[in-house]
Amino acid sequence: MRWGMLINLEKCVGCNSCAVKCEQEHFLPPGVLWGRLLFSETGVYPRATKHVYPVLCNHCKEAKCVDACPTRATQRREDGIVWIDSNKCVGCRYCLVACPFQVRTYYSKELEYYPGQGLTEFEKLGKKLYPHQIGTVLKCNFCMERIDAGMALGLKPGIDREATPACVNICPAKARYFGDLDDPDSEISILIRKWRAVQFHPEYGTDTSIYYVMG
Amino acid sequence: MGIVENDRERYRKVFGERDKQKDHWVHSICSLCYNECAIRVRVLDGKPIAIEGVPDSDRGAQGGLCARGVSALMDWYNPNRILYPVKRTNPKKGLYEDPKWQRISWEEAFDVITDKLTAARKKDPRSAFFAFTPGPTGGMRANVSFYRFMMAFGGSGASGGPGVMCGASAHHLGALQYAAWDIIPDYRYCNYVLRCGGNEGWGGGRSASTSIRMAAAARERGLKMKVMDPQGFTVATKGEEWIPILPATDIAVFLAIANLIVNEIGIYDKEYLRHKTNGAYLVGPDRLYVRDAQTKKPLLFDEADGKVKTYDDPTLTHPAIEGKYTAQGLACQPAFVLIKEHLKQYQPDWASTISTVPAATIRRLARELVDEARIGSFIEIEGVKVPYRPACVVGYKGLQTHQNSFHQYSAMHQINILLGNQDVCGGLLGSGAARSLGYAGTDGFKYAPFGGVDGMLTPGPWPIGQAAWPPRKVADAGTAMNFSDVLSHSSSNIYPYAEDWEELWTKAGRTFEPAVFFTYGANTLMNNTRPESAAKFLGQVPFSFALQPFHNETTEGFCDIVLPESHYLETLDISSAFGVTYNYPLGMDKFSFHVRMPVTAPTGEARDIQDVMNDLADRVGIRPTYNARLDDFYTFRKCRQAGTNREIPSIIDTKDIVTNIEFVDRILKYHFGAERGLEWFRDNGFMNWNKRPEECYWRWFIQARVPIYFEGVEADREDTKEKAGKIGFDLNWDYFTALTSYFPSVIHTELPPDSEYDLFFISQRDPLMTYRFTAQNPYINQVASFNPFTYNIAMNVETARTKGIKEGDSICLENHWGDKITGNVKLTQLIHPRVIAAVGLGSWAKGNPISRGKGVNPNALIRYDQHHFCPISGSAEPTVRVKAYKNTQSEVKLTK
Repeated sequence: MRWGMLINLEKCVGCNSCAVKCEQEHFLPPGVLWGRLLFSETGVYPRATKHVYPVLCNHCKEAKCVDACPTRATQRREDGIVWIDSNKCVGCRYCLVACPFQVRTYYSKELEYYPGQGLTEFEKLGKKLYPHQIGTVLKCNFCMERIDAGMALGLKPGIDREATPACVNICPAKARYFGDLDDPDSEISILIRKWRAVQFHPEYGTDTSIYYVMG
Repeated sequence: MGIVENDRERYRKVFGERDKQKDHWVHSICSLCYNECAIRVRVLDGKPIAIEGVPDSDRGAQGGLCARGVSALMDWYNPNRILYPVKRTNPKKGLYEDPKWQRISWEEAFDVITDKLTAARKKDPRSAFFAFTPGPTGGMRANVSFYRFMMAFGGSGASGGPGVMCGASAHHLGALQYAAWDIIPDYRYCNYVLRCGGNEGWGGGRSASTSIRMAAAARERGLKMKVMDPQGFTVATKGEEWIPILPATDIAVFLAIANLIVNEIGIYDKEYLRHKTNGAYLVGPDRLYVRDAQTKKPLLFDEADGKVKTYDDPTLTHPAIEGKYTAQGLACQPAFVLIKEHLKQYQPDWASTISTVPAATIRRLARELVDEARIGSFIEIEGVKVPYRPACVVGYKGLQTHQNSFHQYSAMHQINILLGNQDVCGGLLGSGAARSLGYAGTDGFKYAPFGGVDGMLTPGPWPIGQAAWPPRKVADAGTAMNFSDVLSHSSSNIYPYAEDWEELWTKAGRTFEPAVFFTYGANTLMNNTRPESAAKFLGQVPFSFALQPFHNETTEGFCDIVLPESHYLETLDISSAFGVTYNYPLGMDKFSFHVRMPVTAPTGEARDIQDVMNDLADRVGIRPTYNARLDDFYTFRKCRQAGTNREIPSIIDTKDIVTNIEFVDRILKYHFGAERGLEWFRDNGFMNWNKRPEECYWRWFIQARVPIYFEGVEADREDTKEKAGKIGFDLNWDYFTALTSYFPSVIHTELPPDSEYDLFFISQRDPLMTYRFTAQNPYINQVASFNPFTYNIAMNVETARTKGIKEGDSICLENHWGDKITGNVKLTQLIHPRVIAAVGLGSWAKGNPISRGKGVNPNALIRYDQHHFCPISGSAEPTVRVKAYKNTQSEVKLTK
């Protein structure tokens, strides 16, 4: 089993819903985004095109961050999810350098969403429900807590909402798909073949778990 | 018990037990844009902690939700919310003033407001101004709870927010052509869209999440979308072709396409023209309808038996759209003959010179539209045979917000009429559901458009006031401060915020002076024109007050009292379930009926608008009339009575004193039966029932025609010229013509072609922004800062090179009146070389510390006067000619 995500850029409109929902879902501190959009354009007027790429941790099969972590805080689970055990992370940031996709953030100090006005009740609640440790590195964990809790109830990630990453559920364009890359009959595997989806930067040799249908 | 305690006690009776749960989900309705999607909110220990869409509902993105909707949670926790009534202690009003708010009680606030409103009403109710627009607590609340209060009071309406530069023409023609507030492609079946402005399907504009979902599915299905727009970095990113065009010149392309379709290609929907438009109405030498001598009804020629008949003659079977006839002793022709001849002057080469769109492209678009529309074809939808026209031309803001917008938007609709695609499968649909055959369980919730005056399409339920048909009679000036008396076809327009308002109003006799300004949802100062101009009017109003959840530039600069409105997550609102000709449900989506439920108890002393307006209505003595206006709306009375004297049972009597909670319960039971009242919806969330093809594709099931010939406009020309001219309007009266014609916008004529003000400055909608208020949300601000087009001024790379401007430079934009703004440049290939663009932001309110100073305010360069608005629809011309140069000052200053 290997969890993966497919993002159809033909359907994605770059609305940022995935990024904002992720902030909410994980009570992310200001300045930390586990998912975000990259913008670029190609061509010359009037035949120019804008490109929007939603990016998040690629949960690489050959994860450079796992290799780089001296404390084994960054780990790859059997289901393919790459996650960080904050209790083991010492904030050395070797992983930030090692990750070729720049999807990790070092949480250096506490900031307020309304600067100078104190923490909101939401931020205080987040400290209890989903604490992040200052001095550690943060990144997307494929909503593994949702996956684990959902599977414990017999639910199927990618099919049942309660067991599916929040960014997949929230996408108003239904551009995201989630499922088992190792299962050739899973919806995601079928769609990857049908739409000829690609991995970003295969030349890095990391074998990413995020696939894209180019728009 | 005090005012607030009474509210809270009523709340506890209905929601108290529910709120005792530790961790639960509540169904409600979003309010972060007009679409008002269904949402579900997770509440933990009384606090909302997550928002998402509703998977089983078609209202929105079926479980998905856009970033604005998700971000609303952070607004609920915003420490800058208004939680108590406050009064101004700084007597000085004006831009950038600190009001020095002081907390007061609801009793004190109501006493002062009641005195002011009562005195104004006694003297002249029109002296009270009601400025509103959909704001942070939802679109329909402004339209129903607030607007109906204004009607009952007899006050004056003034554009509160972006109405004048938003949908003045779109909603006018939406009513005339679709019996709906707006239009949207039938994404489920449409194969080809020519989109000209408006970012539906991409996240900007109206119908946000719903249209994102529908358009994405359509792209997956193979929808081809061409985007004709001055900039190519919004919705054009999802198109297969971007066709850059100069602002306000779409009209030339549309007229050339229509000419090609009618006079060259020769394939258009003749049956549609015959039976569903006034193209078959006979027009005499005076260009007006030839009418029956007795009944005054317009006449048509029936080719079936060679007789002249009234439009509603039951024997009429084959109205002529070609030929010459004699009726009532007059030589006459079907209106379509005049149109066909009139169009011949509009050649692709001519249109290309004006618009910069190549003539070959115009020819190709015309051909593609005709080929893709499959004129004459039918399709069976759920066992019902309906016309199939899977192609359309669609647009919105940008297209219809110009000085020439009535004709420009009509020219777009003219193409759709020729394709016969209006409210048929695959074509262009009215937004929402213009027709409902009723909820099967009770036969309630039933309404429909109908053929009204002269057999023309008249909407059923209408969100605000009177729909565009039939138009008001032209009246003498002096009854309306926005001159909607003399400009009888306009609803919202640039007055009283325009530069020449004083002069015109003085000539109109100054029959009354503004005494009270009451604003809801709106940010009048920022959303209409340059703040200085709006401030000139607001500064002369002796007493201003607002009902708002957040402060803005208008409250801080000019309001004497601000009442705290409860956050939308704290309100019980039924109006947002009744925006049926507004936004939902779209196409063959289900009728997913939701109620905006409070997910938590209101905070501080914030109150629901309906309860506030009820209390004010009691105090001012207008409750019976207010009840009647609300009752008309929620019973769909007008359209249910259309053409009959049928008595429609009421929901509330004029004498009833009901609270918001009771009223919502009664409305639900009225339509859905005794068992489906407020408590049922509280416990069950929402209900679905399927939309039928006869409801979605109602056009051929309703006896009504739409105008392709604007005889009403033609008929009013001389009267308008005389009455408006008397007070100083010197407009191009040729504009009042029945034939959709080319008129250039003033931005193309007011300066010489080689003027140094060589650029057209436009404002584009951003998917993260609803007006300015979402910029205050820290979630939104954070992701917006990654988007190079949100806070910067977009400029073509080559244009910048010729001006010595580089990426990231601070530049100054200056109009020919000498107004200036500054901002940072984003260079792009995705914009017409003669156009620059920015999102409307640039706030300075102290109550909005996150958005303060971010982005630019394009409106600061706008100067409206009688030559900068559409004389028919009232739409403003917000595009301005500017010159751009490097800013030599080191810092951008937005505040004084």
